[in-house]
Amino acid sequence: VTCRKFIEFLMEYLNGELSPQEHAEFEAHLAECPWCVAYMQTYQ
Amino acid sequence: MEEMTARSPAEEAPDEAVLLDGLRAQDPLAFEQLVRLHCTRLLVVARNVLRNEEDAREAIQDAFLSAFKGIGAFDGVARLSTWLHRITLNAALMKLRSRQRHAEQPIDPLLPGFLDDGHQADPAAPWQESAAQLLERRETCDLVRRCIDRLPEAYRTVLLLRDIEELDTEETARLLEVSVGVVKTRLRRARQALRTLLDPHFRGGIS
Repeated sequence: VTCRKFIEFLMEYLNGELSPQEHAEFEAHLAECPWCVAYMQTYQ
Repeated sequence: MEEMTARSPAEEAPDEAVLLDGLRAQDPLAFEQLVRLHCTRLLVVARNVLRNEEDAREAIQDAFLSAFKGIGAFDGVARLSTWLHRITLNAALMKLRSRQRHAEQPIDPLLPGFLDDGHQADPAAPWQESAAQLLERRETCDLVRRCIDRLPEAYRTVLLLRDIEELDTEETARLLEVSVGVVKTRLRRARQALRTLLDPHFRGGIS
């Protein structure tokens, strides 16, 4: 998962609309990308 | 409709079945009560959509007229207030569409940019306070409202209907006469653009 994909599908991630596998991939991206953590926190 | 002010709590909650019977019987007093009960709240809704006092007042007049004419079609499943809210949104959106439109601003400059490798081009940084903390302050709410007003119209209306009027995706699509997919895409971009507009204010606190 890149930042581009994470941000593109952030709404679906937050709404719990991703598949379990995609959700796990997004969690893994968050664990290694402080920029996307910051983006998600400020998006909400 | 300036003379129609908010009622006391007891008057705000009349027996809806009785009121509905009056409306269906075309009782003028029932219509008057309906207007008195709801016009203040509905004017706020119309103002949010149209951002113009005169247009908003015309829209709620159109809405009440539609309600009076269409009361026979009201099935009583939803609450009257919900039904009127949807009619008002529809009237306001029709007026918005009928206005002389300026060329729509592109939203692309407000969307996040990415490098070729997929990383954020302008990495996000934390805000000094959480959004919940920020929204407790009046000046923050005013700033958010001003930033929403800066969004291109097609995106502003979707954000307004979904996040402020709290309609679901399907109903928003129906009112705007677009597909559910279009609503989802516009909402995603509208929220991204709003975040972009708010970011410089909140990275360093309220400015």
